[in-house]
Amino acid sequence: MTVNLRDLYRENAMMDEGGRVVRRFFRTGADTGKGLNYVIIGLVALFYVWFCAMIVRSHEDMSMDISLFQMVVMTMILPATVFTAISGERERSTWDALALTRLTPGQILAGKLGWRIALVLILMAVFAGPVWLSHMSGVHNVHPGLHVALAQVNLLTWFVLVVCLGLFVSANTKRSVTSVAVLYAVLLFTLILIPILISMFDLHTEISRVEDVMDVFAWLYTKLHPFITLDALSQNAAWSNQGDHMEPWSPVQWATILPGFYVAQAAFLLYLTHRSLKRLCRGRG
Amino acid sequence: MLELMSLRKTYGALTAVDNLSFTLGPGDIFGFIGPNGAGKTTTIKMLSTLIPPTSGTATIDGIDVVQHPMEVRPLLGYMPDFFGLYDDIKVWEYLDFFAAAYRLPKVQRPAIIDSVLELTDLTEKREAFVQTLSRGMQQRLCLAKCLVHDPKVLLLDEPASGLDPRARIDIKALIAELGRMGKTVIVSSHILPELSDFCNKIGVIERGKLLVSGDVTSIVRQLQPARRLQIRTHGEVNGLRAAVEETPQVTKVAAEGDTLTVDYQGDLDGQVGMLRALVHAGHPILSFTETSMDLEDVFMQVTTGKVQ
Repeated sequence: MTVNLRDLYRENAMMDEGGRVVRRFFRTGADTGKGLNYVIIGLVALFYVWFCAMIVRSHEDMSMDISLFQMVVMTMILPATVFTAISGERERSTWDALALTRLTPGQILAGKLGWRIALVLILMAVFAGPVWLSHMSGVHNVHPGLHVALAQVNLLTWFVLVVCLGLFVSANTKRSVTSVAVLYAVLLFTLILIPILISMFDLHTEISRVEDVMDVFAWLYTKLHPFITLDALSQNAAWSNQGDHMEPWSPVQWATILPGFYVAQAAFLLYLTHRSLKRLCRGRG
Repeated sequence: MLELMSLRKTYGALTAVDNLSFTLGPGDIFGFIGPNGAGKTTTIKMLSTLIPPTSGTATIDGIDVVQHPMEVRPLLGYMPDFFGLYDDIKVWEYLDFFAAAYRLPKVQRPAIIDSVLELTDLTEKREAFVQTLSRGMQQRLCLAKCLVHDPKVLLLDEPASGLDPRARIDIKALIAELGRMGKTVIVSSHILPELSDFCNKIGVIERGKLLVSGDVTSIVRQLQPARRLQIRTHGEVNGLRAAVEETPQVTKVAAEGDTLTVDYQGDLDGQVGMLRALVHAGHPILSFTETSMDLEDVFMQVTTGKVQ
């Protein structure tokens, strides 16, 4: 196991891919241009400072609202960082050269995953500032600290799942344009369209009102939906344990379980991606 | 070093490569000649373990490319016809990445990078960004990348395509040098003069079938059993033609302008005798040369021009 981890992280040329991307960004500006990149970074930094100042001024605990905002923003950003991971190598004709080296599919995957997880952690840290600042400085509508922490854990695992989904899609598409289209279509469908359809067909999403298999689907689906869980947490257990809306778990209990589902799904997607990379490295018929 | 036995690749009803067999040793530079779509790239990709053959075997240094692709890969340097480079990294960083990917020790990498840069004449471009290199330099960088792990076999698919004449000459000289270093090189091309200067062996492939393969000289001898002489006269060509046709070992004579092309089955002493006799007979001979087939002649003689 020690040897495997050493292979994956310490003696893995792919682990520098993130460093290459960062160097590329600051040296030449990559595709957008150095000047424009610095302007964007400057504007984002200004916005960040203004945002923090506004939070302190408001005296309101907006930590859960910021978490919801964070979920939307990062769910939009992360696919853009991952869709070219493998399909880009194939499209640029660099994949064959990579496959012929002594890098194993596991090392390639670790390299592709590693810096993107690091990016998730950096963005989480960036958002953690306003989230906890708002929570600590707020005197109105204060959320329990446990809810805020659980929301952040749910977000972290959700973002890891998005990255793993992106890697899986990228490993199974030849062209980056297909990869990005599939990725955003999957997210759009699962996060927005299916909930709209559930609402449109008036399916029951409370366990006590489940009547048929479609209701079971709707109930399960809404429970697995990150926005809905986060929203329930933000409303301080509005997902009630009383009357018609009786659920087996409170939102807090569910928010403790849900990250496990996301991690399991992410692990399964990584397993499938690894299989795809093994197939690609072995050679295609 | 490299042995192919009945290598075959089919895609449905299409046979891309059909029963290919040949053997190469260390230092051999094998020119793989064929029209577009003949099966050159498919063969090279099978040898590089990137696509599995439908049947047959290929071994590199005794290791089966199908059974043990991971063991074969460190022995190979593969340069595809269309290759990609990572943007916005420097030449030495690009080579360092691949050296690390081949698990070369970190302390040895700078020296190895310096030596391959020198071999490929890119030392001055060490700090340049790869996207700023000319097409010819990028080809050489791709070749340098193939050399960082000191492979025994190099598979070069159309290495000179798209290059200007000077870059072509540079890359030809580099491939010849690799052969002298004892590496087995397979170079595919459909541009024949490109290969004729440095290949000691050739194989002509058409519609997936290897039509001829072996030493250039033995193939030429096989295809051209008679010596071919060109005799240029300053005088009357018909009289010279009549005199040449009287020589017993001459099998065929063709005249074009002031030059006769003669198929001659005798030995060198016979040639000397024929020349002496013609001069004695008063024919004003300007030149008397033995010519051999070049790769273009070989190619035109053995291929039909059909595509699949």
